[in-house]
Amino acid sequence: MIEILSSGALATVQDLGRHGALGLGVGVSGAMDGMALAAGNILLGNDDGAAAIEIPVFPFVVRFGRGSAFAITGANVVARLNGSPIEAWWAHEAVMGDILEIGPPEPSPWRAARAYLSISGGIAVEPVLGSRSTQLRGAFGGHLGRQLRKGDRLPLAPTGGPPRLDCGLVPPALAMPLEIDGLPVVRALPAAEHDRFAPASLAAFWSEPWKITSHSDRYGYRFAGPVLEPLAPMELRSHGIVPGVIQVPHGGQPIVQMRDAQPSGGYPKVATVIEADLWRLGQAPIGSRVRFLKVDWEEAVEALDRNEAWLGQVRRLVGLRRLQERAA
Amino acid sequence: MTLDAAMISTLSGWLDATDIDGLELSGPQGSLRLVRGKIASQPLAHPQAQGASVVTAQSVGVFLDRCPLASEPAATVGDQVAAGALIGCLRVGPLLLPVRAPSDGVVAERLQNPGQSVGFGAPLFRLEALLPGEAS
Repeated sequence: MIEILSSGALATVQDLGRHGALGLGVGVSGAMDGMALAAGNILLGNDDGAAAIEIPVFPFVVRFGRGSAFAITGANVVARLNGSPIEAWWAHEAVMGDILEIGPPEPSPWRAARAYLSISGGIAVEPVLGSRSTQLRGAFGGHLGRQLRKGDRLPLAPTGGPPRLDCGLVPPALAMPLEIDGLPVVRALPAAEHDRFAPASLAAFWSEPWKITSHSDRYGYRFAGPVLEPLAPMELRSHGIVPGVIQVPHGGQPIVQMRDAQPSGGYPKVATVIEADLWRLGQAPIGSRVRFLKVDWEEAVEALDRNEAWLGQVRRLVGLRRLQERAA
Repeated sequence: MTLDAAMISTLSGWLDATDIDGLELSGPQGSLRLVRGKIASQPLAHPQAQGASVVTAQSVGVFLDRCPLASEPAATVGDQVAAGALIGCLRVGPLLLPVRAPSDGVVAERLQNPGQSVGFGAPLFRLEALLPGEAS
């Protein structure tokens, strides 16, 4: 068990998402930075998709109800275990009663908004439709289908995982940097209504910096930038949408659907952020600016392969390290 | 763990799939060193043989004076460090292995430049024991 001692605002239990239920009208949810979630789990010897706590507001404080290995990934936060500073992107060990305080991100070569607290064995809330992710819209999954609150007690897997390894990881944002003119880049595919926007608007969409406004959360990011004009007004029937879809409502300011997106919508779609880059956007802080880079299907698939290859290399090296420790 | 031929073959396969150059395993029954591209058989230097005041690399890797996201070095010359404190890292691909102070002391000298590739047993830091009355 771990107990939440801080207000917990906006923190949720997340895994890699609830896939395969869009047809039931249930969105995918899941970690905004799935790479950080998977990496934290690999460090601990968990399954990649074990549930962790996604933390977007700091400080976040927990008490360990039993001894456990844990890791903090995602943003470069300042964390303290019983008052002593500990490193992010590293596997640590807590004993029963230890208090972990996760403070706000520090300046670092990678600006990121969310931290992930992974625990050996994972957060053992009951899966719903095959996932432990919190489905906020439907108020199910995760812990009671809601954001965490002070006093919440989250169940841990009864035995936990293998012994802690004393090692850390280079975050994928540093291993696979993607920037243009010093701005983070997310790659996108042109979507169904792309060619029904004015050429000047499309040129601006693919070349101007876009600011993430304060009306951005797990449901979607609203961007501010040049107004995107359609060639002619478009009225569409509602259709299925997925995280990453970039809609352009009246007013011409794009919205990127994120992990808690509803499964259908009717706004015209100019593009879709590729699945491989959703984690990059999921970590971009409110107020920061990003660029959209046009790619094709092959490049999108290749990017996904590169993410998988990175995780595969991490898995192999952590596995080797585990063998080394066992032999020593 | 016993190191049989199958295990060595598995380890070699994993090593081959990474960008690391070598791997050492040691246990009660003996030691094994796998090095990419050659067959090597030699006794491993025992790390403690280097002397208590020199912190040596416990793996091949790229020496870093901080975790990659940190803006400050983990330890600078003159810092007082407690036994077990992280004072640097060895990077092996995406993996970071800790360089920890083996005992309480003061960091007297950093013996490698950050970004330097080092071999197993390479000296990384010189630590001096605390003088009486220095402990805080």
